[in-house]
Amino acid sequence: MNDVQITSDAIVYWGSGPFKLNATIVNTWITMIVLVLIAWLVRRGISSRLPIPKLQHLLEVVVEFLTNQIRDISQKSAAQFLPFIGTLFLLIAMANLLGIVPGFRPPTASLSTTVALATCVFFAVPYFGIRNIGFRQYVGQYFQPTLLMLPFNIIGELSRTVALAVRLYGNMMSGSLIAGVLLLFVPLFVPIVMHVLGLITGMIQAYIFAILAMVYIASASAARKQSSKSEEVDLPNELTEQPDRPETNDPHSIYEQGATANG
Amino acid sequence: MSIDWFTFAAQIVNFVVLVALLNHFLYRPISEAIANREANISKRLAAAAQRESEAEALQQKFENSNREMEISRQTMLDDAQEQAEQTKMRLMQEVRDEVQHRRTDWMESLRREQESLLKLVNQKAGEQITSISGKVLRQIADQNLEQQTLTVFLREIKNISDAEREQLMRESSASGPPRIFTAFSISDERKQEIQRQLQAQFGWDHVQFDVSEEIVLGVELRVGGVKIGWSVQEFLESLSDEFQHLWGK
Repeated sequence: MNDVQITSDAIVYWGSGPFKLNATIVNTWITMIVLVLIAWLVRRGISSRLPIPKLQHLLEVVVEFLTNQIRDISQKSAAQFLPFIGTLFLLIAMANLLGIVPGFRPPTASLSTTVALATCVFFAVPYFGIRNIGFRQYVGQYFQPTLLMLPFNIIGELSRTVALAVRLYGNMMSGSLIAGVLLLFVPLFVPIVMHVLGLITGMIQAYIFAILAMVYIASASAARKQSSKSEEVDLPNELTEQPDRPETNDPHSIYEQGATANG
Repeated sequence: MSIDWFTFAAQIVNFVVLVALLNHFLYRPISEAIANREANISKRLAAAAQRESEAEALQQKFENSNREMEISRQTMLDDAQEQAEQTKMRLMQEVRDEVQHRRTDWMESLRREQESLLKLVNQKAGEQITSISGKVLRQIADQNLEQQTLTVFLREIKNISDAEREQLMRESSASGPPRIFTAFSISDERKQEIQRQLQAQFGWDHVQFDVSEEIVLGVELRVGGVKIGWSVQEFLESLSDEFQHLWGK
């Protein structure tokens, strides 16, 4: 079983020099079009008054669910995180859902895609961290508890990004691979069951990816309290800048939950 | 398991574009719709709460008004009952007074009618008595009775007082000869006897004798405006005068 059979990157429809239009990109576009089309349909007939259209109701449930999850994790307003986290979830979920369509290879089964998404998370963490707690405090996290921890913190950042990418890729790729293998040995019924399991796995992976991304971002955005304890003398004014942060916020515990859920 | 770096870059671009598109087409409209709906619901809940508050205030006001109306109604009812009772008592008293007044008037009228009737009865009785007496006396009068009457007349002439005699004599000299009225024609003997008696008493030579049915029974001597004698008519007139006197009371 070679690499061509595993990833859709190798299925190239058109190429010119370094530019090539492969199945991963095309399927991503298809997923994007489906998502945008649904969103456009909903937006066209959106209503603030009852009764609301069914499709709008469905998307409101999804958006409300994501908003609640983001609020629970970040203990902040979900508005700033919703487009990024929500798009992560919807893109991965829709890509995995479309995997039941014969001939459609989920782009999430491509390492290029998962690494790209993990890279986006990798850059979103400092973006939201600096935006919420400032550059100095954010950078200061890498020196906690001592300066010697800086390399380990950087390695941790990189390793969790790689883990994020590989987790999604591994799950989705394995689902497709197992389905392909079973198709060779047991061509009837069993692949259907595996497809169903693949759908469940795909939904769970979309949820895990989005939640972990949120946990990383929340961890970077909420690290101020831990930092302020050590920098209380140096940065007394910053303690009063955001007084409404909950006392019970513990990003590490949430991270542990997410890591455990990842299996 | 390898990474295609062009695909990697393209997917990053795709993801960023998708974030922008979904933010424009999905998250913002949905969030705004939810926020608008929540605001609308909050507004309606607030309006409902206000309406409920107003309704409670109105209900309280209505209950108070009802209570006041009930109290007012009871008061008015009591007043009306008391007023009706007073009016009833007053009207009954007026009716009693009116009845008493009418009864008094009626009794007075009855008494007047009785008196009037009694007067009329008495008058009629007197008239009847007088009339009957006259008729009876006329019917029973005869020569003997006439003789007795003349005898009585002559005795009275004989016993006349001096003052009456002088008066009669003055009248006689002033107005002419005296006249004797009787109810029946008397005999010449009796006429002579009367004339002798008068001549002896008054000195009159000539006396004229007349018959008058008004006398009923008796004899009258009339000289000018003076009249002396005895007749039943005088008694009847006296009786009639006595009746009139009584009725006048």
